[in-house]
Amino acid sequence: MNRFIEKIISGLISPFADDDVKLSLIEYVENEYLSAKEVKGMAAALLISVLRFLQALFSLFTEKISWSIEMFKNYFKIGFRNLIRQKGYSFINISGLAIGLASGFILITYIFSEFDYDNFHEKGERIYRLGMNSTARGEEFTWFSSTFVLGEEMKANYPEVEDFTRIRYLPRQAVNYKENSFYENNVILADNSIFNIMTFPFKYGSPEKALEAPFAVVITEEMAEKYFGNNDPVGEILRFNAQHDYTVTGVINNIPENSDFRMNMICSMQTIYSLWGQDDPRLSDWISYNFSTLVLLEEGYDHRELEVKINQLLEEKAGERLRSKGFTTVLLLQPFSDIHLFTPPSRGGSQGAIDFVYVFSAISFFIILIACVNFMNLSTARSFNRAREVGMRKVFGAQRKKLIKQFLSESLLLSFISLFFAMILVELTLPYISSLAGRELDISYIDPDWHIPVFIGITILVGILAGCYPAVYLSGFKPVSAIKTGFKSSAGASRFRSVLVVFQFTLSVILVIGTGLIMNQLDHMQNMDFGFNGKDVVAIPLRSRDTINSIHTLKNELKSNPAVLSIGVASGLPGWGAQYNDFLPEGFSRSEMQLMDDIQADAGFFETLGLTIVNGRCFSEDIVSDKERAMIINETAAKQFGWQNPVGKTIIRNGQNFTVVGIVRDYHIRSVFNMIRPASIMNNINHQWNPPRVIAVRISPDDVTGTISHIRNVWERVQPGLPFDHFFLDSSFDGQFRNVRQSISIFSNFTIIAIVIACLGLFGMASYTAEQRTREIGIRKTLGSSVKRIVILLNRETVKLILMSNFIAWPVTYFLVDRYMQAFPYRAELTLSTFFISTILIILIALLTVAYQSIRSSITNPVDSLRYE
Amino acid sequence: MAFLPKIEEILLLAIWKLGDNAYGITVIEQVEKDTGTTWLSGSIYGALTRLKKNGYVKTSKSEKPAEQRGRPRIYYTLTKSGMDKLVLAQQVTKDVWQDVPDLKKAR
Repeated sequence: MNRFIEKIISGLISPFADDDVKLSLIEYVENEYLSAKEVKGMAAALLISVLRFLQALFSLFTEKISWSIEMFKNYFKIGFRNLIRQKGYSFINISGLAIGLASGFILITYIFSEFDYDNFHEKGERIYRLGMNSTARGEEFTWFSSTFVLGEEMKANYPEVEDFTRIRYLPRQAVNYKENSFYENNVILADNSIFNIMTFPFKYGSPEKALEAPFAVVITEEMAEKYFGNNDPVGEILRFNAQHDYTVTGVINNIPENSDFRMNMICSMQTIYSLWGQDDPRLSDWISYNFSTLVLLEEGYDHRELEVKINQLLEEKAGERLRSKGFTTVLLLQPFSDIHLFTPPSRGGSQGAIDFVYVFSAISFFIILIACVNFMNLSTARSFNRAREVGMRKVFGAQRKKLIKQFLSESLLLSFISLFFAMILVELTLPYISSLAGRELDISYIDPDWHIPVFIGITILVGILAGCYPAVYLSGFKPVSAIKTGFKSSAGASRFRSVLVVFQFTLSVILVIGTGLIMNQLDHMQNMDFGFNGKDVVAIPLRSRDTINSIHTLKNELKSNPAVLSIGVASGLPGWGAQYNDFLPEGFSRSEMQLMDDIQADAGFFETLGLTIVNGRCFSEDIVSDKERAMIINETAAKQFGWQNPVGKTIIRNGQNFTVVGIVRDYHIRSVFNMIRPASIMNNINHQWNPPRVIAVRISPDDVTGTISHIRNVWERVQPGLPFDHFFLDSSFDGQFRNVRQSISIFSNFTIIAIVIACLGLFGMASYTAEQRTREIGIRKTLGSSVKRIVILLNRETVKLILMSNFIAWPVTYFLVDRYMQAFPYRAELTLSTFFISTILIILIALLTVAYQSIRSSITNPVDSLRYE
Repeated sequence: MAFLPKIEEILLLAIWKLGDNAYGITVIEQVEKDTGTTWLSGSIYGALTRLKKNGYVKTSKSEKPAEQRGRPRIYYTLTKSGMDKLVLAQQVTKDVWQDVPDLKKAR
């Protein structure tokens, strides 16, 4: 830790602790920082050490208060009188600090709830998730899936592995019990040991054997109520996708909201043998990663040792094969508590949760700083009011140290009053904030033992932070000059105030421009050319074999309505992603296999989605060989293979030769948070490993509801057992922007708060200046100055300061936003206009704030202002 | 006869267990180990200050500057009255809990 931070810490706690405790605390905080840094990275370490420090600060503070209650009583009394005497300024200070603290608390509640994810699992500290870091042809990716066999092998070979469970998410299932039919998400397959590893208390049934047999299912309380009412459902049968019957063997309590494992139904892993077949290669292979595996290690075991062992095991079993495919794979174990926050952004491309935590901590810190600056400015500006008191106290023998304590206790008093209002604000605004953040935040997240000290610690910190400069400044007055009439605060102090105002507005400008730029980015991504037209395309997911077999009937029946313009069938829609397979294009050697997205689709798919063939032809129903031989690749693929004339080239997949018949214009198979990759589209929609998953129907925009009810009728006729499910392609593709939109709404709300607080301070300063300059204005007016010129004179300074803030904020914002944007492969340019508009906006807001005061003082009749002379 | 609050008792005991090696970090680690919670770790500094004010522990700077860039390390040791308190606490605890069966099982 550098000297500077050390100084800050010791400065902050010096009113409450002696030197020895101080040194000991510094060492402790430093140690917390260093040890966390190694495991979790710098920013998280910073956060943790600050929390620790706040706890210590709180405990030292309460200790101190209880020891010297009498002295503080006196200080608080005087401070209170001062507050009452200057109601206007007290209002500005308290409201500013209260809003600042409230937003700080809300963000901290959010941060705590993030750190609280999946904390309820009793063995959490011993659980690890298997993952891997894989490099293939220069591309590196980390994902957290593993093979079917690895967990089993680990448990069999290493005594330190107490248990393991495999998890496989099933696609949305149509679930039926008597007259109740619903679609359910979050249905998984898992080994029975999941109940040994994770903590899911049972309401009915028992965890020991619940998932031993195939087609057994454990459901949550919520699900049980939905299908079976309040009865004990153990032994009842649920029918999935009108195809398989699952016996309910248990009911678990609902899984808490703050969990990444919020399953609705857990089916037994044994079932997979029936779903996939006994001899499916994916169940014995060492290199197909289709499952998520959690392992439970014995107490106190260092998982890094095990990492080494399993990598040796992998080398032994599959090293040769992986190398021949061009993969370098390193298996890794991720601590369970890291899953929510520290899982690196994967193919989904969304930001890691921890990044949000950092950004929000930074914003709340900014807001609190801005509120502190208000206090500093107003109290030093008004220092002449207190100068005489300071002078008298000094004359009667008060030491400077005592005076510093006095002023500090005043600012502490203020911050505690603000704490009270902040708590009310938090209580009032949490429901709104929850809806902004898109998740349940409430007071019940606040754990009194651990969070209240942190809140109070922050309050103390704010009190000291805001109060230290005024305290040092005020206590430094020379008694003689302070008591003399006509005392003026020094030029140095007023310059420092300007610096503080610049600082405040710099922070606000950063927030405004930052929000603007991120909005630009969203706008850019939403209006990008996605390469397909999703408007008026209705998608119907295919979930069971039975439906797949009746695709032909469905298609024919659907076509009978003229409003159905075209129909396509495919293994996936834009935004869904695709399987990722090895291909051998012509002209490449066996060791240069290329990874490509693998889509199976029919000719109608191209027409329905408006995909453009830029070269060659589309699949055709009339050419029988297309089913087995034809392939369409995207532009990116053609470019990557360096092909000028791709039509007619050969690509081998799994030993089968395909001829490229056409090039499709790039479209977003994955979300727009991913670069478009080379992709291949083949015509075999009955492919065994890549079955059709969706029917896309382009409908005429007139009478959408009518057409949909036609589709529903057809579905219900052809698939009587399954409830009808559909969605629109454009709105489902739009869903990927939800997170960005959410953070923008949070950003902009907190930006507004920051500006409001800064303006409150500006308002206070303006009224103070106007008051100070009443006489000057009076004289100027008598000498013939116009109102306009006086308004300009009064506001020149403000505008100058704000321009200066912009000058500093621009490059800083540019740097920060540029870094943030690295996460987006398709970036909007950082346009200058956003910068200019934000600057003008801020200046306007600031001028509006000071306008009232300055105009009022410029239009006063000089007779009134000079009468007292 | 004034009893020690539980937290002070735990702290004193931790310092006693650590002997010559009791400084901020080790004390906190010991308390975390004994109580099985890391929540309140930062908060022990208030209690430490109180113990010092009451004269149950005293602090001393390490003679040669410790590893950390010449910053002295502060060691905590029990004073005689601190030790007396601890002895008393043990006695009282023993007496109070004598003949009480395992409450977890008796519940």
